[in-house]
Amino acid sequence: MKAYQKYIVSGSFIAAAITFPLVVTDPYFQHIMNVVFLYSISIYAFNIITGITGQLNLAHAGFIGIGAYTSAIASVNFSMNFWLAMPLAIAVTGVFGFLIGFPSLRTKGVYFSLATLGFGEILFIVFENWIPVTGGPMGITGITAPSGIPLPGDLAISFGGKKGFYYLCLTFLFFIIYLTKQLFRSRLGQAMTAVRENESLTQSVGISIVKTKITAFVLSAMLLGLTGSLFAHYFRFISPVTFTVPETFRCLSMLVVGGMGTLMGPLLGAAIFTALPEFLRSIEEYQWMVYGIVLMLFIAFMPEGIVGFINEKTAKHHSRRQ
Amino acid sequence: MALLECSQVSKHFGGLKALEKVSLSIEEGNLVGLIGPNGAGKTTLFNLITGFLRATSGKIAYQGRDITSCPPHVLASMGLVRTFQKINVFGHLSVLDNVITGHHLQKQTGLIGALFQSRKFRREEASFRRDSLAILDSIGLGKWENYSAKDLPLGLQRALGIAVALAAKPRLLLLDEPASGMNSEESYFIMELIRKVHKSGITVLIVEHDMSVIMNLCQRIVVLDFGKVVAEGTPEGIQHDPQVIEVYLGKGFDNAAEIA
Repeated sequence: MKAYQKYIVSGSFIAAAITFPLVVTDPYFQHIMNVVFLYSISIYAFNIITGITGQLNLAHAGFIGIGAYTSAIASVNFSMNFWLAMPLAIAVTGVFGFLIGFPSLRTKGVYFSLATLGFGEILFIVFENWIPVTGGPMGITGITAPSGIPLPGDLAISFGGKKGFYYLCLTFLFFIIYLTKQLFRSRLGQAMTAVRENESLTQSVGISIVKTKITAFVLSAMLLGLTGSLFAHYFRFISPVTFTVPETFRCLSMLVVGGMGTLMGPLLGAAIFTALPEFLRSIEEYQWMVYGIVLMLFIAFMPEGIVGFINEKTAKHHSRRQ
Repeated sequence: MALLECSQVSKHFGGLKALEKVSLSIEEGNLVGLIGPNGAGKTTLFNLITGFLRATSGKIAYQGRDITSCPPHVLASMGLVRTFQKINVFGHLSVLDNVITGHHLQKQTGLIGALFQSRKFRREEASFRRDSLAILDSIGLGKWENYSAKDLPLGLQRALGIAVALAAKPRLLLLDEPASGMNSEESYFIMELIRKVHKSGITVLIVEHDMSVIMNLCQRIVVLDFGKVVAEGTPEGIQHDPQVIEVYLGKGFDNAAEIA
């Protein structure tokens, strides 16, 4: 694809995304899109540590939980509005990312995954049992919707409804896609890719593995904190069942199917896996089986995911001077 | 003062004495070969010098500074860069991106600069791209820039490994068996490449099995056997050293020098 064709394609997608809630006014479909966006943001965060840096983090849902609970408690107990609670959630999740990442990133490969799996499970147990703070299995209710931005006169931008939240999420999604795009071009992103590809060679060109991994992990955790905060203020109710280890695997399936380490894979994976259960309503009890089969087929036949597969097929193998 | 100075370096793995009191010094501008039979401890010595292993005892100094317990990425920032015997590239990255990644130490703008696409970031990005293409051209990999590194033939992957190391601006380059598993044409190509690298002013230490490569290239050769230095000298001297002949061929060969 030539450069201008790329601009036309991405331009029309952006235009379609912006006009969607104006055209499709059915709140059900708007809600589905909001869920797709929430998932997408979390899968982009997953992509940073697992897709780009190559460290399979199984505490994924736990981190979203930290963000969600921080934001919910700030909102309900300290009556902070969304615009204060969200940065707080990002900061707290980032700190937890450092505290959990520091010991677990000293281990490699499968051991790192097992360590994070353990932390993920511990976080879930804390959410469920620390009743005075988290409300236990009953969760936290009465979280405020994101407050709007007042404009001069009587106008205001509201994020309370489905449509308002759509635009809020879309803004963050645009940001995180742009972040990923620039990450690939940056010193940090190239170090992260190097760590995934070949750790010995990475060290021998002067890249600190520990520093790179921890930075990636904390960055990913902060974005998961953002996801959790958005989630809490959108549903206005949270409970531990949302932040379980199976939820992590659902997100992992999205990442694998979309394409690990790619720019558009997370969005595609999130869209497919959010739309799928809506179509599978009639056979709901079998949906996990369908996920499992889909995941297995992808790992066996298309491990690079849909976007990775397309990239490989369209790769340019020519020199700049032929 | 020698550029690299190993004094009385030992490395024990449990009861196994992989290296026993090895001393070695390399002057700036030298091209030194390190040879020895399988299991002699060549790669272990390499790993000690480059910080991938830590010596049991002894001292390694680089530019007069004690580096015995420095991690690899710190050593790289001091200009001590190595290549590896096996997979030597970032497989899923393009050839060009491999070399750009090798420039890590010279990159100055961080993620914030990249996010705002600051002028400094764009200038830096363009200059590393230019430098990387120049390195690729100089070693004859220019036309492969868009290929995934894993798709290159073995000989070119080795060359790319050296290109990545060169991008890190080494002062002392350590090459671990750059010609292993290659046919004669490929190993000739690598030899020419190493000669070019050395001519550009980089000190080189090379571990190699292939005698013709070592004998043709190096000014000085160090022979290791069972973790000890058994001989040291010019290629001619080494070829006729009775102890070296014994190490490689065993005792009792009268005309061994000719065979070797």
